[in-house]
Amino acid sequence: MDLIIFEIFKYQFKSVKRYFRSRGIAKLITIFLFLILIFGVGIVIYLVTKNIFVNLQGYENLNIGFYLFIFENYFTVLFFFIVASSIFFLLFSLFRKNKDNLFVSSPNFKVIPGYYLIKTVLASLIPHLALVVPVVIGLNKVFDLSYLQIFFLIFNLTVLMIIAVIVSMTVLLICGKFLLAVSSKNIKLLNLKTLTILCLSLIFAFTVFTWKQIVPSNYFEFWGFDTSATVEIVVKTFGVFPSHPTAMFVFNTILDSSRLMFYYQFLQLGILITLILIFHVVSKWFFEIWQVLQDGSFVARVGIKNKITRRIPQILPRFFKSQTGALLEKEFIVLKRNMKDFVWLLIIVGTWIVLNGIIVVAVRSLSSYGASASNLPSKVYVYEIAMGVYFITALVLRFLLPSFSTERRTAWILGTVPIKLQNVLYAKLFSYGSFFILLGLVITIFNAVAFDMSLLNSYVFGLIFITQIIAVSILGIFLGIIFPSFDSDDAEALSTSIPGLLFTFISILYGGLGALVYSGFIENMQIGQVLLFLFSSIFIGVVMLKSAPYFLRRIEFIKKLEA
Amino acid sequence: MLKVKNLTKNFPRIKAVKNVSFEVREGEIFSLIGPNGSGKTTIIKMLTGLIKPTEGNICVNDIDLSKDPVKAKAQIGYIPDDPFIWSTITGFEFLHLVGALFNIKEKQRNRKIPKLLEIFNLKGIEHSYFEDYSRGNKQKFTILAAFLHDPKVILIDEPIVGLDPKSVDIALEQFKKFTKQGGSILLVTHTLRVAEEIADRIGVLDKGRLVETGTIAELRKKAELEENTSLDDVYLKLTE
Ligand SMILES: Nc1ncnc2c1ncn2[C@@H]1O[C@H](COP(=O)(O)OP(=O)(O)OP(=O)(O)O)[C@@H](O)[C@H]1O
Ligand SMILES: [Mg+2]
Repeated sequence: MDLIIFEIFKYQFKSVKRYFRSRGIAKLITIFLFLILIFGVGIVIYLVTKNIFVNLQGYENLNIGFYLFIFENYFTVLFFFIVASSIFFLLFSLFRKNKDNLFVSSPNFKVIPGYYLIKTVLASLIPHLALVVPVVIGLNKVFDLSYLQIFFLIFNLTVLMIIAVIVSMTVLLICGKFLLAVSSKNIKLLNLKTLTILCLSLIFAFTVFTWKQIVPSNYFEFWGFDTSATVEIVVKTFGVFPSHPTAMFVFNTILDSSRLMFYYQFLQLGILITLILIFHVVSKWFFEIWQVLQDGSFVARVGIKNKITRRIPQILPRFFKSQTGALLEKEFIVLKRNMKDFVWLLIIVGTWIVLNGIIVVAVRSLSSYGASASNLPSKVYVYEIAMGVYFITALVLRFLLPSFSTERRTAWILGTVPIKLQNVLYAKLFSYGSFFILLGLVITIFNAVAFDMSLLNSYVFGLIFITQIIAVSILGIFLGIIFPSFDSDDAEALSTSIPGLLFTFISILYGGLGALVYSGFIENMQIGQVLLFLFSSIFIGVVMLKSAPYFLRRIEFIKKLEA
Repeated sequence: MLKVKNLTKNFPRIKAVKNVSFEVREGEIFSLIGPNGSGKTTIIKMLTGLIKPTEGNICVNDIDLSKDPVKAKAQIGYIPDDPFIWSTITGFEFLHLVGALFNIKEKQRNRKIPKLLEIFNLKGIEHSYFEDYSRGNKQKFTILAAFLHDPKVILIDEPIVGLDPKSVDIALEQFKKFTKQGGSILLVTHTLRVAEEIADRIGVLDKGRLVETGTIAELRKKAELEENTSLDDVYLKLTE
């Protein structure tokens, strides 16, 4: 069984080599830019880590147990993040219709769960290391670790990631088996929708549980307590999480306590082995779950009456009875019914709202402790703008930028009806853009209320933010039509291309610029800068829209074979 | 009705279509036949405006496709070789969507679509998603969509691949009916039986070049074959 997996990876390695054979330079540049991006993230994490601990060491009456608290928090979040993202990655790759038909029908179908497990681990490796290695280097800078300790830290954190991936796969298979078990002959409960909803609600429940477990612990109790008492509180709070041994391991590393280090390392490996055994059992369920998930929702045969799965006849367009209206409604319907896209949307928007909530809670609790509350909030709004544009960038990158490239196989419809392609562009822009603007308005109002912003302040905040949302949306779709790519039909793959990276860079810089302009307004009432920013954004947006038809006429919706 | 002059398409690696000219008259079915990779699909895609010709000129009902694409496209119906449609819309929605994009009023669509569905007996499955249809049924919906807006010209790429024998007969019947009412059809295929059965004239394409055009009888003569030889033999001789 294992040999087969090895063979598959050998084959995949070959296909990577083949991937670089055509337009290798462009692809290398993409990867290089990517590495720079990851490197940038790494540097930020390194600086944050170093600064936190250098600052903490300055407080004499803060006991060292607080460090453990920080580790526990970071690794819990990291663990949770990997589990959630792997669940969705696996949910939409493991069971995709018609994708692994050959593989599943071959006598080696039993290795598929193991194969996907290894694949997910490998795929998570680079982002994981980007999140972990800088922390270790930062810790080394502050606590002066030995090489052996550094090695074991990275080893331990990598095992944590593998544990997270196994947990997510196991959870997914258990959920699938559960839905299968509660189905009866007539009522089938297992399909992609119910499975997604079940996973989402589990993740949501876990988030609530974590929040309840962590948030009540009071930051300021750490002052004055003796270390062992603090550690006790932290262990009580975090002992239930699988990342606990890792946090204890890191904590004991900086305390230089080898005996406990080894204890927690073995504990972690024990967890790993137990999980592998559990996975071995649940992976046997994969095949039946896969089979059921291949079923469509309705049998395409004449004469079958099935009231439950029959859809209500829908006339398209229902609301906007024009050509562009029809295009618009098509976008809405296709997005609404595509589980994968929908979950993506939910994840990005959800993360954004949760982060926003955390900031509000943190700022409020800090001000209630009187921690220089006077000048804190104004900085926070500036940060909120930058963060908002960052999330809008993620949304545009995933949805608007590839939205023409993903129409390759359906272009025969859009390209042969008597409409101008720019109407398709407007429809796409409007359907997603209006949603993004709505989001922007919600966030603006939320912040204005949460931070008690003055009317003028919230007005300018909203104006800058919404203008940025519009400009970023236009930029995304514009770059998508200047550099259409038909190498892949997969929106995620299309996002991680040179135009995608280019867009990300421009858009994030632009977000930063907007934040800067806004901070100039708050601090010195520089209204001129704000106006200049708004007008130039609108101007550039209009220029892009006006030149779009020229680029649209050039697009041929075909894969170009290489010369 | 459809005039094609000096059509040429160069892909980076290959000259797929070389200087092809032909005409499809009113009420006529013109069929292009040729081996795999001879450039049939590429020609059709240029006629629909999906691919830009490297050179050449296309006129539909005296409208230049490159000058006024919107007006020209309104006259064309297209049945692609790969019936791929957004997987999560239903056949019914698809027909309405295409109709709306061709500017057909809802009232008219409500009258026409049920009739079209009856042609292939698709009633009963029209409200399920495309991803749940079999290939043949997908194809049937794309055929119906091409008739929805009463086009002047229908461009057909491999019409019968994936259709069951009865549906093939129905489809060919539809095509004939359409030309009887004055429409023109360009039909591209390598299923010679189809070309033989319904084409008025035939063009033989080989390696991107239009080698011969004419009725079957004329082609036989050009290939220096006897009467009654099948189109298969003519084809084999001409594309040697
Ligand atoms: N997008 C493309 N890029 C480069 N070359 C292409 C592209 N599309 C088609 N070709 C080439 O153009 C030639 C003609 O292809 P085309 O699809 O028109 O053939 P066809 O006659 O329709 O074949 P079939 O009978 O198999 O459908 C082929 O050699 C093909 O490799
Ligand atoms: Mg073809």
